[in-house]
Amino acid sequence: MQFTRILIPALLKHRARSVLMTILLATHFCYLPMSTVPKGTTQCIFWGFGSDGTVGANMNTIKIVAQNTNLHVQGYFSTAL
Amino acid sequence: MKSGGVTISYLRFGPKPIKSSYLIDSGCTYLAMHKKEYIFTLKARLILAAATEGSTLVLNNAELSEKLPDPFRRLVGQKKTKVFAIDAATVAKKTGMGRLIINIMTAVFFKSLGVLPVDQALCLLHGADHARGRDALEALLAVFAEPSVEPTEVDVNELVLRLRETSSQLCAPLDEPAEDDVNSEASDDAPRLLCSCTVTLACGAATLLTNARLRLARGRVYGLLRANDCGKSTLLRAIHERHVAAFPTVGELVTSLVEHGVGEKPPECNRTPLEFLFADPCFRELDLERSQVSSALQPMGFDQGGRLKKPSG
Repeated sequence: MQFTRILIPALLKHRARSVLMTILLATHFCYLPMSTVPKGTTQCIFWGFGSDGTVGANMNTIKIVAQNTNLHVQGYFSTAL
Repeated sequence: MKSGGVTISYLRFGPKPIKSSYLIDSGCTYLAMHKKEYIFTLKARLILAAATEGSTLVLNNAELSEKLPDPFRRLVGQKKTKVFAIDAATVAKKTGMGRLIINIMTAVFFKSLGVLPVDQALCLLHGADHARGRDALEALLAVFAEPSVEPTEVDVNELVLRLRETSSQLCAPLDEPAEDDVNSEASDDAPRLLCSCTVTLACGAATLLTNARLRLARGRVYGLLRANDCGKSTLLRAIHERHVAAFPTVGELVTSLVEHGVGEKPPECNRTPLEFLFADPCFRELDLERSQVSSALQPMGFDQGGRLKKPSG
């Protein structure tokens, strides 16, 4: 489970019960978009079927983009559901 | 990666350094669905959650005529997603790539986003020895760029089976909810479900239902139609006696079983549902006013006297 902005309202709601959790939020919480992705970044999601080659090919793709352009890249591959 | 499971790949790239150490949960401009079955098995909200307005969705789907699920179409309409469909399996076979649909899907990705010149990207992807496949792919992708243009070359014509912008055909317009859907809450994947489970039902030595899917929504009226002795009443009795595991318990939901035996007992049809309910000692214990029950029944399609007006489900 990753901590995302979607969880913040729930955290605030239950903060009375949890002594351990202290979260400081500067601005922009709740339902405002709090994306830290820089402007101009392209984001893509690929849904694949295990062993169909999607993950390997996308690793390859992101390397091709990194090595042949001036763009910054990031890739993450999961089987979570 | 477990073979056969769902895999999700997240890619980001841009001119500035990326320090977002979380999954893509919004602002996604390109979505690819390499297995079309996911459209039917996964929730539309899950698939399209991260998609931004006007994003591109590429489906690896051989049968575009197949009707996409309503929640999916509604969400695609709301987000103004451009849906493309490609029969990657056929294209892969014809371009000499065998089962490797991923080569086709990756080519489509490069073509669609234009992050690299397609020529260069395909070169890097497949190396020089895939020249034949590459030529075919390039021709194919030229068509992809202009979805409305009919392909002219013979080879490509064969390859491009269904490669056209299809959002207009696949997506119901926003102001016109899909049929069967008027009663349920709009833009909700699961209209308050009463139960959704599989039922196996046997009566004596006979098996009546094997892993049959039972899906009941709240606030609807259902009719059960089938020939004699197929197990309609047995199913209702099983539900009434809570032999169906996933059905809400007696404490959560009151059920009444009205049987009007054929040639056995005098029919009970002369009584209105209200009269029937109040004849039940368990129901009387709830201590409800007649008007309360009557008004509770009305949204379900019963009239003032408690009679069913017209079945709606």
